[in-house]
Amino acid sequence: MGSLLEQAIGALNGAVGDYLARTGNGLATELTLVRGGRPVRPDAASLRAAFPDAGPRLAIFVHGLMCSEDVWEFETGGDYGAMLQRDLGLCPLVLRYNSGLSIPDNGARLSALLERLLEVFPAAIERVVLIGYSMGGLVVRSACHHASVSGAAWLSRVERGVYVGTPHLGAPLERAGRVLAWALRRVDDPVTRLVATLADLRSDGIKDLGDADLRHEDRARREPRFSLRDPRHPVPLLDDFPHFLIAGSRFDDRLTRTLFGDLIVPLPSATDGRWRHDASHPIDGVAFVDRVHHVALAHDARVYEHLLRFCGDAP
Amino acid sequence: MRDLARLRGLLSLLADAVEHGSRAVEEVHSSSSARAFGVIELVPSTREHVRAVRAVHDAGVALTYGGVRLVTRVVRASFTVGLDVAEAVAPTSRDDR
Repeated sequence: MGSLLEQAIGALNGAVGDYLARTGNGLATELTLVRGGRPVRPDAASLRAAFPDAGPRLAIFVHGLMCSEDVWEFETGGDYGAMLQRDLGLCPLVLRYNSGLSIPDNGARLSALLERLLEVFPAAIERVVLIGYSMGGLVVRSACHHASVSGAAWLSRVERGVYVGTPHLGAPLERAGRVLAWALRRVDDPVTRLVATLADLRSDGIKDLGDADLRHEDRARREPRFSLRDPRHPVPLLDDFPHFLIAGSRFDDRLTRTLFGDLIVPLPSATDGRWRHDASHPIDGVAFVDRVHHVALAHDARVYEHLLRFCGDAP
Repeated sequence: MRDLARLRGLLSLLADAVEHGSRAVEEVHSSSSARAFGVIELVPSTREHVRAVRAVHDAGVALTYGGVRLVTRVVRASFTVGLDVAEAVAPTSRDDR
C-alpha cells in the first residue's frame, strides 16, 4: 500500500510537480536518498544507520519521469542495485525526486546532494557510478554539467555513467505535444483554448524532455516546432569519464525500431545519435535490448547483463 | 506528520483544481453564451428583451460558479481545521524529528 502511494505521488509529481513545489504543497517530493522505502536524511548519523554496509564504491540510481524508486524493482523481487552489490560489491544508493521540476533544477539539487555525501557518507567515497533511467539520465547529465561549471569535488570521483533508455536527443512525443498546444492556442474558440490551457499544465520536467534541456539557458530558447529529426544537443557528454548507453526497442524491423524505439524514446535519441538504422556492426559503449518497452528497461534481466558488463569493465 | 502534510497537500490540490477549473469553465461558458447572445441581439425588435435575459443569465452564471468556489473554500477551511486538530493530538513519529 505504501509503495502504491509512493508510486501515485511519483506520478503526480511528474505531471504537476513544478506547481506543487511552487505552491508549497505537501505532496511535492523532495530530492532525497531512500532506503527500504524511507527517506534518508543527508547527515552522518542517518546515513550510518541506513547504510551499515556502506562501501567506498557507490552506484547512484536515478529514476525517470513520473516514477518513484519502485520502478527499479523486479516483479520477482530485487533490483539492479542489490544485484550490483552482490556481483561487483557496489554500494547502491537510490534517489527519489520530484520529476516535474525542471531538469536543470533537479540536476543542481543532485549535484548538491552528492557534494554533501562526500562530507558525511559513512565510508570514504572513492568511486561513483551514476545510473540514470529515462529522464534520470538527463538529470545525471545536468548534475555533471552543474558540477563541472561550479567546480564541485564529487565529479572527480565519478568512474562512469550508464544511461538506460535516456532521451539524450529529446523525446518526439513531447515535441509533438508542444506544437499541438501552440496550434490550439491560435484557434479563436473558447473550448479549444481551454484544451490548450489543459495541455500546457504539464510540468516543466515533461517540457524539458522535448529537446532534452539540461540548462536553464536551453529552456529559455525553446520554440514550438516539431521535427522527427532529433535536435543536436548543445551540452555534450563530459569527457571526464566514460559513458555507456542502453537502448530498448519494441520492434524487430530496423526502420520501425529507429522511429519508435521502446515506444517512448527512439533509438537515435537513446544512443545520443550513434544509432544508424542501416548499420550492422556493434557500437562501442552502446547496448541494445530487443522486444522491451520503455518502463520494463528499469527492471529487465537482459538490461542487467549489459549493466553488469558496463559497470564491471575496467574504466 | 508527513502523512498529514500530504493530506493537506491533497486537499489543497483538489481545492486549487476546483478553483482554477471552475474559472476556466466559466470563461468558456461566458464566451460561448456571449457569442449566442451577440447574434440574437442583432435582431432590432427583440434586442431589449434579449439584453434583459442576457443580464439575468450572466448573473446566474457568475452566481453558480462563484457558489461552487465559495463552497469549496468553506469545505477546505473546515478540513484544514480538522487537520490542525489531528496534528495537535497526533504523536510525533521518528520520521518527523
